[in-house]
Amino acid sequence: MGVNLRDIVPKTVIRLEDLSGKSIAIDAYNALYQFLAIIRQPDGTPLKDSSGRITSHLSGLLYRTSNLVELGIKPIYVFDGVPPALKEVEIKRRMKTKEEALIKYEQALKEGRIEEARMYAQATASLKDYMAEDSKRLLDLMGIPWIQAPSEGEAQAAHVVKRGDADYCASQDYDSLLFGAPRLVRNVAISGRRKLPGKNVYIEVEPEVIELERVLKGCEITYEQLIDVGILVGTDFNPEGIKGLGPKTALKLIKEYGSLENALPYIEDAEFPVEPQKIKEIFLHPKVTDNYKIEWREPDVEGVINFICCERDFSEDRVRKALEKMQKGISKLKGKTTLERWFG
Amino acid sequence: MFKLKVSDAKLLRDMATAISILVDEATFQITPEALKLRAMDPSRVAMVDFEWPKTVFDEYVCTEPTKMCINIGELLKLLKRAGKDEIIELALDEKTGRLQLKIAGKYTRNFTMPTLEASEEEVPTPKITFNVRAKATTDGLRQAVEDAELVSDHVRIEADNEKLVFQASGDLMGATIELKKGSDALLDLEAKEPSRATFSLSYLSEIIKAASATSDIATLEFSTDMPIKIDFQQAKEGKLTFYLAPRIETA
Repeated sequence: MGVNLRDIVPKTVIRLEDLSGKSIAIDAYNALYQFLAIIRQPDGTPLKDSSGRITSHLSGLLYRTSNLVELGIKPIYVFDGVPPALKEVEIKRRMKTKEEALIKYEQALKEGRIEEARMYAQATASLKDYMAEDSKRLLDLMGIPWIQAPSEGEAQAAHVVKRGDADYCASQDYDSLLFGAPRLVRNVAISGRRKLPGKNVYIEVEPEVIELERVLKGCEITYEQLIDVGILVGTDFNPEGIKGLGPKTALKLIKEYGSLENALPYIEDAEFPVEPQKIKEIFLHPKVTDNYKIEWREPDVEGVINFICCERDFSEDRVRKALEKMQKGISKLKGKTTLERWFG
Repeated sequence: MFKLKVSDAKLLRDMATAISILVDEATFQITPEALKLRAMDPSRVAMVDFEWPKTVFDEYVCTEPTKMCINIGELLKLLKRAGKDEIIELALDEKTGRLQLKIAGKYTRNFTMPTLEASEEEVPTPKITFNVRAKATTDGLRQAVEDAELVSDHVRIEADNEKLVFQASGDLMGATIELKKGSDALLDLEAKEPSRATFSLSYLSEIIKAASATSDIATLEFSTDMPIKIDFQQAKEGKLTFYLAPRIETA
């Protein structure tokens, strides 16, 4: 779910091509979930190969990544490791939502309510281990670097950006900000047209950049206070947050009392599944690693084809075109500099 | 208070077009002496440095320095509605934060458009020692980049004391365009040392095409693997200069 800070976060809408030349640490699970949810047939059935294996995630990964690289963007995928123990509540909640969605999906399908079936099907999307393995294999063949996070992918992505090894974090969730990501870009993995749930209406989804410093300046709070606001609103470690408390009120409370600890006595029904201090600790000192290598290579065209065309039944024609786009982007990027180098 | 008047709509339109090549949202510095803008494109490959002193305008009033950010594409749409010799008046309504644009010619049209949050970014001047200085006609430059564009998406610009050369090589075809010193296209050339640098043609050609509408003569300054500075000489006083970062072939 992620923390909902939308109402208090200043953002700048950009064009995807404005990110040309920039490296972007993409929350891989976040992106893969979106591919699994969105890339489906009209009745909600995911894409599958002839032996029944789901391939929606590979389709999304290949075509989206090649679009990004064509524009000169340098993606790095960051995969989740072992979730922190505190996330258990949220993980159980997600499982329950999926089970319920599955029942509704089958019901809708049986009764011929195709539109609704698709909607429920999207909510059933779950990421199996083989999908992550498939994805890493595809990325290796495409020459795109990926990082295995020891724990939360978003924390690792934020760490990579903090160390200056990437320019932006990409995720739909605002949690990256709580993990201290200096720059977050949303709607990168899935920008373009998106269908509004339950309606036959498409909206244009534009990438937006959110800078931590601007958020803090705009809200007039410190980084630690932003984490406090997040915990009041609800994070993956206390998904419920505090009932009836939205980001604006949470911000007001933290500014008034200075910190979560000081504010708590004044908040009614302040209940947490775990010590709020422990949640804060996860954001302040997440488990991350410096042990990674970021290197973009030319795609191994025949390797990609062998894997997803021969083994997973993708159309060779379309895959070759996507890889050609990538190669064009790579050659365009070669030797590119920005004026900043000469600002001294 | 800020307002200005230009009796030739084309002047303003060509200026806005040149700026719109690099930026969508343009933050102008308005001082009692001049209208200025300095901005980089979002990917920070190119920069425009623009300044028109008040003398360029038929009327120019600015009582205190201010910043004004507008969507230059939207402004351009309105400016395109004006005929060549029509009069344009711009005024900033400080109460509403809207820009008022009046086109007066055969009949009078009043438009308003919103201003946006001004950018706080101060763009510095790149620090470069230039070894080559070439003065060329904008027409000659435009022809050269159009030729190069036929075969590639980037071009290498080389110069010694004799000639300025545009060299492009694509997957299949190649092109070499030579401008000799003292020819009609190349008015002057000084090279402290032979230099060469490669640039993206999509930037270079858009800049040269758009800026040539405002100018007949441009001065190019560059050094090996450094950004190029192109100064488009303005008919009236004023400055329109572009910087473009090079592509550096590492292999």
